[in-house]
Amino acid sequence: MKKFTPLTWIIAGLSLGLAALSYGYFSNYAPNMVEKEAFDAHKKDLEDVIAMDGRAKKRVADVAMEVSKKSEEWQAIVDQKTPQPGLKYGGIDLSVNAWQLVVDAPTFRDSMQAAVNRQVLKGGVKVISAPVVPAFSQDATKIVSEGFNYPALPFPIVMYDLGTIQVRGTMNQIMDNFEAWSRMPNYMAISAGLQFTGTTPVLTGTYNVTMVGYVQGSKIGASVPEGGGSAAGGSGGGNAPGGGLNSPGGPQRVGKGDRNVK
Amino acid sequence: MKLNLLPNYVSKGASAKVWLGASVLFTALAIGGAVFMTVSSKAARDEAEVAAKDLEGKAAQVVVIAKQADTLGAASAPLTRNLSLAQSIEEYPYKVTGFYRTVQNYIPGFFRINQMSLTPVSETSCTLTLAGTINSYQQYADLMLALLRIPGAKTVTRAGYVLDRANLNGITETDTRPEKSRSSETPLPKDPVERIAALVSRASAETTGFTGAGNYASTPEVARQAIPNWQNITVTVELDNPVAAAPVLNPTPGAVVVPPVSYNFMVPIPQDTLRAGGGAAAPGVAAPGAGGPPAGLGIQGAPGGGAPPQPGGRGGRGGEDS
Repeated sequence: MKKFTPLTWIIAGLSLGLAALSYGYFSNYAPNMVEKEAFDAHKKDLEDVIAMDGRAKKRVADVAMEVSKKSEEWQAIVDQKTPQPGLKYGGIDLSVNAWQLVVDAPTFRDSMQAAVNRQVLKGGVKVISAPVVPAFSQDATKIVSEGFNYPALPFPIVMYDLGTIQVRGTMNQIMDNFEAWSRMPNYMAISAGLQFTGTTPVLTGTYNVTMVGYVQGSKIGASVPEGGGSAAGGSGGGNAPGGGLNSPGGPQRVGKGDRNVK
Repeated sequence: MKLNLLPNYVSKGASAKVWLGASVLFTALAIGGAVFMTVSSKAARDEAEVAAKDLEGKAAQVVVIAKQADTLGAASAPLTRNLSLAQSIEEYPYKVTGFYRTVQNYIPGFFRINQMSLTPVSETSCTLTLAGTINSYQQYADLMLALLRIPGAKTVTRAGYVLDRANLNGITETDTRPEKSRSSETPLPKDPVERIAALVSRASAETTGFTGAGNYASTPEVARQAIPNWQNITVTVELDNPVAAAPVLNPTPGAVVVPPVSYNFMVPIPQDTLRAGGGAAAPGVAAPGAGGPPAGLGIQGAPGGGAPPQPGGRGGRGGEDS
């Protein structure tokens, strides 16, 4: 020991000390600090998320209010733009069995035709050519699928491209007549392609109309086991397999004897 | 032989002991520092981890709340689609008539229209087609400039005018003083007698009295066409989005006029719109009651949409079977 010079001790002390410090720093301190920074950053992110709590609640409230507002608007449209349920009110009851529906459908068709006839006269024009609402299928196995577009659409609906309408009158009369389709009661009708021909004051207006009628009701009558065709949505009675009926989202089939049950 | 010139109090042994002690002390301090770094850093790390994990629960709740808004919005998509369709259907006719009323103000009085139509081209443009009569080639040019004043007019295309102008003829061997004549007519001779004879001949070939041209004197329903010396023409104006909405000048009193803010006259197609959302709406939408909206329209399926319509509302009449 006595032969060790001071320089030797200095080097030895520095070596051991630096080794210990290096171990402490590189093996523990630095990795721990990296992890701490990661946790701090994560915490900061979480705090940012938590800070949005108020905004998130406000957004939920805003969206809910918006949906509620839209629901009210849609309800107002439904009130004005869907035929009343029931034949005698101009609508149709789809909960009856398909054979009965075939009997009821022409009456409903006549109601629609009457609505169209009233509409085409709006504005005080003279009608040159007016549309005719097509008749429903008399095939009980197809009347719902073809006449009411169900289950092709998630709800029963009648849609008709009524074709070309020609009316005669002054320009304002024709425009009023054209605009009036958007106010058609119980149905949604879109008039388009308006063009004028003729010489003032007697002009001829030509345009096309498409009519949409949402059918109110929560149930659709059971399909019937009529020979020569397959009923859409399954066999009659009770819960029809397939076709989406009795699913939470759509109208429900009712059995033959369920006509009066709602 | 080595000489030690240092004083006696300077001995290697004493110096070595000092440095030994210093080294030991430094080493001990270094080890202590290392231990401190290890312990303190681990404690800080653990503290940060706990603090972060404590917040995860609250943050998860906030995320759930935030997702509720998305869920609400998604659930109301069928409702939004139906509402948009209904609104676009309601607005469309007024857009068209508003456009016609606006365009009327840009059509000069000398252009007697007997046909006017509008064709949608895209979501920003449309084509206006006008057919009518004018009585001069100058009007044919003036009409183009007048129609270009329509806001958003990009191009004006014209067709139908047949120019039959009396042009000055060139000098020939037999005629050194040529006169103007139409291409459809033979030039009049210079000799006065022959000239009179030619004019008489030309006049005798003309129709005398009322010609009935252009459907005049027929019933009012029949569109009037060009009278003699007038011509039928067709003009097509391509319109694209104007910078500002076209002003509605002199609208019909009492009429609801929606000024066109754009030239988007694409027709809403209910069939396509409803079929586009047909598959998606069915599963998640509750069937409404008999008095509610049409089944499956998404009203009740939309969370937050309010209480479902109940029987006894509008549908309280209930139909014959209720």
